[in-house]
Amino acid sequence: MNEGAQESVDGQDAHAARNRVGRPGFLTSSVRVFDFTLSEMLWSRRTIFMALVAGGPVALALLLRAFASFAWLDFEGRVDGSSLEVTGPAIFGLMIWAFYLRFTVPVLGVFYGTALIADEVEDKTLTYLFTRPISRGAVLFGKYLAYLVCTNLVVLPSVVLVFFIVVPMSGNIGASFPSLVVDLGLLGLGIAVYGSIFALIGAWFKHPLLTGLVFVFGWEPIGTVVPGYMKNLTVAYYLQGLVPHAMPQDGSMGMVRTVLQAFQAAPSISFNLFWLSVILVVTLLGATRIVANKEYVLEQ
Amino acid sequence: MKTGTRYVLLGGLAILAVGLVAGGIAFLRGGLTAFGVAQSSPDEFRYVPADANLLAYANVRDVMESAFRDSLGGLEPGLDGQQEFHESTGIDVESDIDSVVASLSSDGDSLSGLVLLMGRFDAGRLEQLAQQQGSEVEEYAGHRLLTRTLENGDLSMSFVEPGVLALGSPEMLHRAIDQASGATEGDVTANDQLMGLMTHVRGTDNAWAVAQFAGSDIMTLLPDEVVSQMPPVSAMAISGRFDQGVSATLTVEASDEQSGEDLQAVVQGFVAFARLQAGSRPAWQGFLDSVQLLRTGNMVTLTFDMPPEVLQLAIPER
Repeated sequence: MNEGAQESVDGQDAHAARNRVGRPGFLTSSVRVFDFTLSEMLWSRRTIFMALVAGGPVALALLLRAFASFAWLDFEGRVDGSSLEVTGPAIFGLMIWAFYLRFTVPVLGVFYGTALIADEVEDKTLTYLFTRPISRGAVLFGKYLAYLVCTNLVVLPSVVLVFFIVVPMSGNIGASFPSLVVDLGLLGLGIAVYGSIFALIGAWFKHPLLTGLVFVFGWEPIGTVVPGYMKNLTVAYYLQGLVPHAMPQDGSMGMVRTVLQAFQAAPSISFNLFWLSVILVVTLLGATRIVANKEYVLEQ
Repeated sequence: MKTGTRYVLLGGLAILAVGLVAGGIAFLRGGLTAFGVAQSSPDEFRYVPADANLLAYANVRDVMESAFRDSLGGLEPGLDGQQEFHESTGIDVESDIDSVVASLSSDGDSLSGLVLLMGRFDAGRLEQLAQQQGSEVEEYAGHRLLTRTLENGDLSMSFVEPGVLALGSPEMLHRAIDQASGATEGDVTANDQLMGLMTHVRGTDNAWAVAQFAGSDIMTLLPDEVVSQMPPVSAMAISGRFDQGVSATLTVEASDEQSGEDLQAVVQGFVAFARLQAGSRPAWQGFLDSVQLLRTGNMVTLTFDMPPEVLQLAIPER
């Protein structure tokens, strides 16, 4: 090899070496993407919707508490001749199940998860991200982390506020605290799993929001009630299967358990947690892989 | 990160942190029933010693005025006992007593009870009646105790404060008086296990009892035939509300999960047997349909609604 060719090879090696040193790792890249995405996500128009969704239960809790304090509402009633009393912990359990698990978490997952990549495509800013010296997968993962932080730090404080407003009504905060911790973990897990599924949908499908809404309001409600194995293909089955374990053990919770009767045959906690973890990892890896390999065509 | 973003995130984290810390403290201290619509402990708990193994309360006024009691009509098997109580103490249960607090403490090899009756009493007339029946008068810490010797031991009574009549052994009344005056530390509200069991009591229940069996002789109160058939249990809470019927919850904490399973099986078997015996009687069917049994770990909870018709079938009329 002559000296000129050797120098060229040496130069290319040096250039490659400089690139390897300057290119951040996957996690570092993700953190950088997370940093600027978090502000964009938090101050977007979707946040108004998230604030309404997370603040609605708090407003309702305050209303209930005011009515109870002024004795405008009687939390006792009769059902089929039997007396029925609804205590604060029972109301809290119902709100977790009906508001947060069945609506807030899936809906926020749809609106934020599908938009992780889809928004960049729609705004035609994806090119600027993909031309950076960071892996495409890191872009998605960083955005996913921003979604996790953003939604958790809005939804979970809302749950805590509802807990302290509602539970003292014929309830005991200390005794109900373990259920709060479990419910917070449950909601955090739900946010993570739904977010990863809709991140995959957002990276894969052309109309991800529509697909996501069909999944949340169509597939999941039907899949969980149809007898057979179809419920195993929903996230709600595993998540809501954890809810009865989170319920307070008070006799007045009989009403709530009756409502959740469809889930009294839920499998064990470890089974549900295992499959939720599998869904989370598989869908997140799938989304990362799709983003890394797919050629996104930005409409002119 | 923008400043506004940082503030929002810190605000959310602060709410989470404060909530978790406050809730954790409440959990560890077994309390925080304050600042809200919550049940409160009767003031008379200050007479009950901290080492009580059983604690019970009944709002006698609510129970006596309930439609359930009215619907029982001629079915009052306790009327003879009520009459005897009135004749011996001068107290009319139906009109004089507002509420009752009772406790049982394990004192070595024996059980020692304390009953506190809250209501309206003619102290002078009651003391005169007690003395006529052979009671001896004793002064203790500024209180008059009237002690009468019965077959099973001595029974003392004392008006520990206006409207509160204490009944029990002389030693127990001495302890109760010392307890309330602060001569001894801690009343039953310092008993974390019993107070923890009270979380199973609903705020609107007008009668309840909680008991911890571990390290006590309370199980000796039950017939041997019953105790021998039961899995080992460590605690119990039963509460009920008397209005149109009786709506009750029984929570039993078994010694371990296997005992909890066994206890659940025993109760399920009993309910199934009751269904067979009930036949086609609508009152019993309705009652049995209201029975709900739930087990989580070693905790078994039974709830039911009993209409007055069930008691009318079970108890013959006078």
